[in-house]
Amino acid sequence: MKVKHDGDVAVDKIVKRASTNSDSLLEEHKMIEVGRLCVKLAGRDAGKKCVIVEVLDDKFVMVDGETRRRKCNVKHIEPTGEMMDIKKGASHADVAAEFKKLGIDLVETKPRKAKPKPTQIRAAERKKMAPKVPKKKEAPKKDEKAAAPEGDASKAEPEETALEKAAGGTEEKKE
Amino acid sequence: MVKPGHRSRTLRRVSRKTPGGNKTLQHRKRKPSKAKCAQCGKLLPGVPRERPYKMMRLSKTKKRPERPYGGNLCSACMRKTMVAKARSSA
Repeated sequence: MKVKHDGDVAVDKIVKRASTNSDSLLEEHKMIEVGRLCVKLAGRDAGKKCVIVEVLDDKFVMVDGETRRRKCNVKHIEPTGEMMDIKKGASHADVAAEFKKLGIDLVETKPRKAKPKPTQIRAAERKKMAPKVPKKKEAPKKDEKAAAPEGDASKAEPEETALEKAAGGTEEKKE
Repeated sequence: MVKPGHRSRTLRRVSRKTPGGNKTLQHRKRKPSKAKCAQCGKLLPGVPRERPYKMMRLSKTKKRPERPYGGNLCSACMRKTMVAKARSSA
Protein backbone atom coordinates (compact mmCIF):
# COMPACT_ATOMS: atom_id res chain seq x y z
CA MET A 1 0.00 0.00 0.00
CA LYS A 2 1.38 3.36 -1.04
CA VAL A 3 1.42 5.91 1.80
CA LYS A 4 -0.53 9.00 0.71
CA HIS A 5 0.86 12.35 1.80
CA ASP A 6 -1.16 15.57 1.95
CA GLY A 7 0.18 16.76 -1.37
CA ASP A 8 -0.77 13.49 -3.06
CA VAL A 9 -4.35 13.70 -1.83
CA ALA A 10 -4.84 17.07 -3.52
CA VAL A 11 -3.26 15.71 -6.68
CA ASP A 12 -5.48 12.62 -6.64
CA LYS A 13 -8.49 14.89 -7.00
CA ILE A 14 -7.38 15.86 -10.51
CA VAL A 15 -6.61 12.71 -12.42
CA LYS A 16 -5.39 12.35 -16.00
CA ARG A 17 -4.29 15.94 -16.59
CA ALA A 18 -2.08 16.50 -19.62
CA SER A 19 0.91 17.71 -17.58
CA THR A 20 2.74 15.30 -15.28
CA ASN A 21 4.30 17.91 -12.97
CA SER A 22 2.62 17.59 -9.56
CA ASP A 23 3.17 21.29 -8.74
CA SER A 24 1.19 22.43 -11.75
CA LEU A 25 -1.57 19.98 -10.88
CA LEU A 26 -1.85 21.50 -7.41
CA GLU A 27 -1.95 24.95 -8.96
CA GLU A 28 -4.78 23.89 -11.24
CA HIS A 29 -6.75 22.69 -8.24
CA LYS A 30 -6.35 26.14 -6.68
CA MET A 31 -7.66 27.70 -9.88
CA ILE A 32 -11.09 26.10 -9.49
CA GLU A 33 -12.84 29.09 -7.95
CA VAL A 34 -15.84 31.31 -8.60
CA GLY A 35 -15.19 33.69 -11.46
CA ARG A 36 -12.46 31.70 -13.15
CA LEU A 37 -12.69 31.65 -16.93
CA CYS A 38 -12.45 28.13 -18.25
CA VAL A 39 -12.63 26.22 -21.48
CA LYS A 40 -14.84 23.17 -21.68
CA LEU A 41 -13.07 20.01 -22.76
CA ALA A 42 -15.82 17.45 -23.17
CA GLY A 43 -19.29 17.23 -24.57
CA ARG A 44 -20.96 19.15 -27.33
CA ASP A 45 -19.84 22.42 -25.69
CA ALA A 46 -16.18 21.44 -25.97
CA GLY A 47 -13.86 24.30 -26.90
CA LYS A 48 -16.24 26.97 -25.62
CA LYS A 49 -15.50 29.46 -22.89
CA CYS A 50 -17.33 29.40 -19.60
CA VAL A 51 -17.17 30.88 -16.11
CA ILE A 52 -17.31 29.01 -12.84
CA VAL A 53 -20.43 30.34 -11.19
CA GLU A 54 -20.40 28.10 -8.13
CA VAL A 55 -18.15 25.40 -6.69
CA LEU A 56 -20.41 22.57 -5.59
CA ASP A 57 -17.72 20.32 -4.13
CA ASP A 58 -14.22 19.11 -4.96
CA LYS A 59 -15.48 17.26 -8.04
CA PHE A 60 -18.32 19.34 -9.45
CA VAL A 61 -18.76 22.92 -10.47
CA MET A 62 -21.65 25.04 -11.79
CA VAL A 63 -20.72 26.58 -15.08
CA ASP A 64 -22.26 29.22 -17.37
CA GLY A 65 -21.25 31.24 -20.41
CA GLU A 66 -21.00 30.16 -24.04
CA THR A 67 -21.91 26.73 -22.73
CA ARG A 68 -25.22 25.73 -21.26
CA ARG A 69 -25.77 26.60 -17.61
CA ARG A 70 -25.09 23.27 -15.96
CA LYS A 71 -23.25 21.21 -13.37
CA CYS A 72 -19.92 20.14 -14.76
CA ASN A 73 -17.13 17.79 -13.69
CA VAL A 74 -13.89 19.51 -12.81
CA LYS A 75 -12.08 17.05 -15.07
CA HIS A 76 -14.01 18.37 -18.05
CA ILE A 77 -12.88 22.00 -17.79
CA GLU A 78 -9.51 23.59 -18.35
CA PRO A 79 -9.03 26.73 -16.25
CA THR A 80 -7.36 29.64 -18.03
CA GLY A 81 -5.34 32.39 -16.41
CA GLU A 82 -8.21 34.90 -16.55
CA MET A 83 -10.69 35.78 -13.87
CA MET A 84 -14.09 37.37 -14.21
CA ASP A 85 -15.83 39.64 -11.72
CA ILE A 86 -18.81 37.50 -10.77
CA LYS A 87 -20.45 36.71 -7.48
CA LYS A 88 -21.26 33.19 -6.44
CA GLY A 89 -24.50 32.01 -8.00
CA ALA A 90 -24.72 34.82 -10.56
CA SER A 91 -27.68 34.71 -12.91
CA HIS A 92 -27.34 34.04 -16.62
CA ALA A 93 -28.04 37.72 -17.35
CA ASP A 94 -25.10 38.85 -15.19
CA VAL A 95 -22.81 36.34 -16.84
CA ALA A 96 -23.96 37.48 -20.29
CA ALA A 97 -23.18 41.10 -19.39
CA GLU A 98 -19.69 40.20 -18.22
CA PHE A 99 -19.01 38.19 -21.36
CA LYS A 100 -20.04 41.16 -23.49
CA LYS A 101 -17.22 43.18 -21.89
CA LEU A 102 -14.82 40.58 -23.21
CA GLY A 103 -16.42 40.90 -26.61
CA ILE A 104 -18.21 37.56 -26.62
CA ASP A 105 -21.92 37.75 -27.32
CA LEU A 106 -23.72 34.81 -25.81
CA VAL A 107 -26.12 33.06 -28.13
CA GLU A 108 -29.45 32.50 -26.42
CA THR A 109 -30.47 28.92 -26.97
CA LYS A 110 -33.80 27.69 -25.78
CA PRO A 111 -34.41 24.01 -25.27
CA ARG A 112 -36.60 22.68 -28.03
CA LYS A 113 -40.17 22.29 -26.88
CA ALA A 114 -41.63 18.94 -27.74
CA LYS A 115 -44.52 19.41 -30.15
CA PRO A 116 -47.82 18.06 -28.86
CA LYS A 117 -48.44 14.64 -30.31
CA PRO A 118 -51.09 14.76 -33.03
CA THR A 119 -53.97 12.76 -31.61
CA GLN A 120 -56.55 11.04 -33.74
CA ILE A 121 -59.87 12.75 -33.17
CA ARG A 122 -62.82 10.50 -33.88
CA ALA A 123 -65.50 11.70 -36.28
CA ALA A 124 -68.16 11.85 -33.55
CA GLU A 125 -65.90 13.99 -31.36
CA ARG A 126 -65.07 16.22 -34.30
CA LYS A 127 -68.77 16.93 -34.83
CA LYS A 128 -69.08 18.00 -31.22
CA MET A 129 -66.04 20.22 -31.45
CA ALA A 130 -66.74 21.85 -34.83
CA PRO A 131 -70.10 23.61 -34.30
CA LYS A 132 -68.86 25.40 -31.13
CA VAL A 133 -66.66 27.82 -33.07
CA PRO A 134 -68.89 28.95 -35.95
CA LYS A 135 -72.10 28.87 -33.90
CA LYS A 136 -72.15 32.66 -33.38
CA LYS A 137 -71.85 33.40 -37.09
CA GLU A 138 -74.18 30.65 -38.24
CA ALA A 139 -76.81 31.32 -35.57
CA PRO A 140 -79.22 33.28 -37.85
CA LYS A 141 -78.86 30.57 -40.51
CA LYS A 142 -79.57 27.89 -37.94
CA ASP A 143 -82.70 29.68 -36.79
CA GLU A 144 -84.04 29.63 -40.33
CA LYS A 145 -83.27 25.91 -40.63
CA ALA A 146 -84.76 25.20 -37.21
CA ALA A 147 -88.00 26.99 -38.07
CA ALA A 148 -88.83 24.46 -40.83
CA PRO A 149 -88.59 21.28 -38.70
CA GLU A 150 -90.40 22.33 -35.54
CA GLY A 151 -89.02 19.56 -33.38
CA ASP A 152 -85.45 20.86 -33.63
CA ALA A 153 -86.32 24.46 -32.86
CA SER A 154 -87.14 23.69 -29.25
CA LYS A 155 -83.77 21.98 -28.81
CA ALA A 156 -81.85 24.75 -30.57
CA GLU A 157 -83.25 27.64 -28.51
CA PRO A 158 -82.03 26.78 -24.99
CA GLU A 159 -78.48 26.01 -26.27
CA GLU A 160 -78.18 29.28 -28.14
CA THR A 161 -79.57 31.49 -25.45
CA ALA A 162 -77.17 30.02 -22.90
CA LEU A 163 -74.14 30.68 -25.09
CA GLU A 164 -75.05 34.00 -26.67
CA LYS A 165 -76.90 36.05 -24.12
CA ALA A 166 -74.93 39.15 -25.09
CA ALA A 167 -75.27 38.80 -28.85
CA GLY A 168 -78.33 36.58 -29.08
CA GLY A 169 -80.90 38.99 -27.74
CA THR A 170 -81.99 40.01 -31.24
CA GLU A 171 -82.32 36.36 -32.32
CA GLU A 172 -84.80 35.64 -29.59
CA LYS A 173 -86.91 38.54 -30.77
CA LYS A 174 -86.83 37.19 -34.32
CA GLU A 175 -88.17 33.85 -33.10
CA MET B 1 -18.58 -23.91 -61.35
CA VAL B 2 -19.10 -20.52 -59.79
CA LYS B 3 -19.94 -17.95 -62.41
CA PRO B 4 -17.02 -15.59 -63.19
CA GLY B 5 -18.64 -12.51 -61.70
CA HIS B 6 -19.01 -14.23 -58.33
CA ARG B 7 -15.48 -15.56 -58.00
CA SER B 8 -14.13 -12.33 -56.56
CA ARG B 9 -13.30 -12.25 -52.87
CA THR B 10 -14.64 -8.73 -52.56
CA LEU B 11 -17.98 -10.52 -52.30
CA ARG B 12 -18.74 -12.56 -49.23
CA ARG B 13 -20.38 -15.97 -49.40
CA VAL B 14 -23.50 -16.62 -47.37
CA SER B 15 -24.93 -20.12 -47.16
CA ARG B 16 -28.73 -20.20 -47.26
CA LYS B 17 -31.42 -22.88 -47.37
CA THR B 18 -34.11 -22.37 -50.00
CA PRO B 19 -37.83 -23.04 -49.39
CA GLY B 20 -37.32 -26.21 -51.48
CA GLY B 21 -34.80 -27.44 -48.89
CA ASN B 22 -31.69 -27.00 -51.01
CA LYS B 23 -28.63 -25.26 -49.77
CA THR B 24 -27.36 -22.46 -51.96
CA LEU B 25 -24.53 -20.01 -51.81
CA GLN B 26 -25.45 -16.35 -52.05
CA HIS B 27 -22.89 -13.74 -52.91
CA ARG B 28 -23.27 -10.44 -51.11
CA LYS B 29 -21.35 -7.20 -51.17
CA ARG B 30 -19.17 -6.42 -48.17
CA LYS B 31 -19.72 -3.48 -45.85
CA PRO B 32 -17.01 -0.84 -45.57
CA SER B 33 -14.68 -1.00 -42.58
CA LYS B 34 -15.32 0.89 -39.33
CA ALA B 35 -14.16 4.48 -39.03
CA LYS B 36 -11.03 5.04 -36.96
CA CYS B 37 -9.67 7.96 -34.94
CA ALA B 38 -7.43 10.16 -37.07
CA GLN B 39 -4.78 10.45 -34.33
CA CYS B 40 -4.71 7.27 -32.29
CA GLY B 41 -6.39 4.79 -34.63
CA LYS B 42 -9.04 3.59 -32.18
CA LEU B 43 -12.42 2.55 -33.57
CA LEU B 44 -14.86 5.44 -33.50
CA PRO B 45 -18.22 4.81 -31.87
CA GLY B 46 -21.28 6.54 -33.24
CA VAL B 47 -20.25 6.25 -36.89
CA PRO B 48 -22.25 3.66 -38.82
CA ARG B 49 -20.57 1.53 -41.43
CA GLU B 50 -22.83 1.38 -44.44
CA ARG B 51 -22.41 1.39 -48.18
CA PRO B 52 -22.76 4.81 -49.83
CA TYR B 53 -26.36 4.30 -50.96
CA LYS B 54 -27.41 3.88 -47.31
CA MET B 55 -25.13 6.56 -45.87
CA MET B 56 -26.58 9.13 -48.25
CA ARG B 57 -30.05 8.56 -46.83
CA LEU B 58 -28.98 9.05 -43.21
CA SER B 59 -29.21 12.50 -41.70
CA LYS B 60 -26.04 14.26 -40.58
CA THR B 61 -26.68 13.67 -36.89
CA LYS B 62 -26.94 9.93 -37.42
CA LYS B 63 -23.51 9.64 -38.95
CA ARG B 64 -21.37 11.16 -36.22
CA PRO B 65 -21.44 12.08 -32.52
CA GLU B 66 -22.70 15.57 -31.66
CA ARG B 67 -19.32 16.89 -30.55
CA PRO B 68 -16.47 18.95 -32.01
CA TYR B 69 -14.30 16.62 -34.12
CA GLY B 70 -17.05 14.04 -33.83
CA GLY B 71 -16.50 11.31 -36.38
CA ASN B 72 -12.87 12.37 -36.80
CA LEU B 73 -11.23 12.08 -33.38
CA CYS B 74 -12.08 9.80 -30.51
CA SER B 75 -13.22 11.52 -27.31
CA ALA B 76 -9.83 11.16 -25.62
CA CYS B 77 -7.91 12.67 -28.53
CA MET B 78 -10.46 15.46 -28.81
CA ARG B 79 -9.91 16.38 -25.17
CA LYS B 80 -6.14 16.43 -25.66
CA THR B 81 -6.60 18.76 -28.61
CA MET B 82 -8.87 21.07 -26.60
CA VAL B 83 -6.41 21.19 -23.71
CA ALA B 84 -3.57 22.02 -26.08
CA LYS B 85 -5.63 24.78 -27.72
CA ALA B 86 -6.67 26.27 -24.39
CA ARG B 87 -3.10 26.28 -23.08
CA SER B 88 -1.60 27.71 -26.24
CA SER B 89 -4.03 30.60 -26.51
CA ALA B 90 -4.33 31.43 -22.79
